[in-house]
Amino acid sequence: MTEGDRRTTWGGPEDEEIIRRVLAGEVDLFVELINRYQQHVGRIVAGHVRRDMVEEVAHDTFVRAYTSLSTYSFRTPFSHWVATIALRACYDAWRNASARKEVPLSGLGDEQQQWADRLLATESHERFEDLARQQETRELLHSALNQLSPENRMVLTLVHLEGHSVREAAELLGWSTVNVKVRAHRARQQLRKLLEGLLRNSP
Amino acid sequence: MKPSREQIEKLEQALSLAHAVQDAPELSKSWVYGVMRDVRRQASSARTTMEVPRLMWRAATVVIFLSMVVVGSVLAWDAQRADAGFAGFFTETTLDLSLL
Repeated sequence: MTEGDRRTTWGGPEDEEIIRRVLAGEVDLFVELINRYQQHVGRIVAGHVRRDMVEEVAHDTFVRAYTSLSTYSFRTPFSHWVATIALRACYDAWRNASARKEVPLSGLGDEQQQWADRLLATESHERFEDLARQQETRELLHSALNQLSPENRMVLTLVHLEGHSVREAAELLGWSTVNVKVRAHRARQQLRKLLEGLLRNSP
Repeated sequence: MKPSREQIEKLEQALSLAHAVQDAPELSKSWVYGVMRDVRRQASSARTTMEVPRLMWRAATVVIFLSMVVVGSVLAWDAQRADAGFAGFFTETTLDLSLL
């Protein structure tokens, strides 16, 4: 790993210096942190919220990062610290959208059933991966996730889709490991029921 | 017919893959500008929040100092008046004695 990578990915001395100077009153230097971490935050946020929500949630993440910058301990990399803020901003965005009933709760439709059948009918691994990468699978994923509560959605995405351990997900969300474990199990059962329903209804 | 476990797992695998290949939209310069505008706003409101208690403490110190000066002056003035009263009493007594 080069010096530059360490600085950008692991919050090396240059990040530290910028943070200290921002805290000392050089607010305009915060733009340097935004430039360095906007892709990192954008990727995390895009994995958890709808595409049309990404800009707003990423914006919220950086404003939150600035307002709580004085609590940054310098012991963990800045990238990790800002990731936890991004995930909590995503969770809050879903909670607000869900409270305002902005999350479409329509069941999985005929087109998605047909798509699931096509996915299951593929024999070759390459063809399966090719289909899985297409927009239709993403739509199926979003429709399924929209059926879950904001809490279960976050846990399912982190643990089952991204492969984080229960402990890591608990740290990232600031929840207890027991809570995450229970939710991970329930959310997976819920997802499986949805997928079962989808396959049962297929012609 | 109930779908098999393998079928469900195959769909789950496809969903994981679909999640992994999602690309993040490019965040524009105007987006960065918007974030910085809010950050500066936060910074200035935080400064104001810190300035108000500081100003209040300064004002309170000045008021306490002025109150002490006023109270001190009143007490000093009162003490002078009391001294003058006693002096007058003794003067009057002396005068009365001389008349006798």
